[in-house]
Amino acid sequence: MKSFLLLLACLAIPVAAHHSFAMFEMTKDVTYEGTVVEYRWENPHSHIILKIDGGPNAGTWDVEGGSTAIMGRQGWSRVTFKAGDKATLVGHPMRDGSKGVSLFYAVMPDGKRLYHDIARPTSEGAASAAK
Amino acid sequence: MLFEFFHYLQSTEFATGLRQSDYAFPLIEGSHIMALSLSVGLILLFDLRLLRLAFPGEPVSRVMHQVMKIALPGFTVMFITGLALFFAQPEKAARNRYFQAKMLTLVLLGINALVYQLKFYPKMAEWDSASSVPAGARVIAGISLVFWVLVIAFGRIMAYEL
Repeated sequence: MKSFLLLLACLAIPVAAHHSFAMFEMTKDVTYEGTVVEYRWENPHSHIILKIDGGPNAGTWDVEGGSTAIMGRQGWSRVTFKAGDKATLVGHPMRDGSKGVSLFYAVMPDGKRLYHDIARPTSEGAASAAK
Repeated sequence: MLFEFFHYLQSTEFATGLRQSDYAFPLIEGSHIMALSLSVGLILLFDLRLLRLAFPGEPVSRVMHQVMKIALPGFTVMFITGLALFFAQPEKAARNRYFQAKMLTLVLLGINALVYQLKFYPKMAEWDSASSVPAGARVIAGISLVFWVLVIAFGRIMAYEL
């Protein structure tokens, strides 16, 4: 039974990920607040291009989400954001320091979190449970 | 000029529709991966036969014909699904250096296969069942083995370029 579950888990991983999360610092949660330049609802990964004026994170960031199917299950849709919207996104930055982020969740205007996938924070403020 | 054309292609309704579909895209992507076993997987078996590392007792021509019966439809699936994946994001793919490396390696593999067809295939009957395969044919088999692995690796690494 145990080995069967392990086999199932192995089968599930490649289906869930177009590429692994190795290039992101998955234990680091950073909040990015800015204006949506482009909301690309598409496969294999959705992208939110976010422009931040001023502060330590000033610049244009490419925040990468999952496939439309994965994000759709968490409540995302093609109209969740549009260019010009203000957005608060929490994600894991690229290890190499470039302006890329793996989306963890978005904080919507009503305060609710819209998660990228099934990962949730392990406890308040702690590192997220990756995978 | 070429990138401008790919940019236009990427913005067409067909490409956008492919990228935004919940089912078509993963089905095409999944088929492109699974058809590897029916195409490259079988070509590698033939390469191994030329190197006498698999089916050493079987005539080369027999292995070739058995393998090709499945590999040709397999490559057809690879080509169609690969083309569809490319058309979903032509500009992004064309600018990706690993995609460029993959295409270049595929061209070299095409030349490699062509050399086999022109130089070794016509005289295959002469060494078909012999215990040794011409050195040239073995070199071609070795190149094929290495390059196909490279093609798969490049295709996979492509996804890591944001």
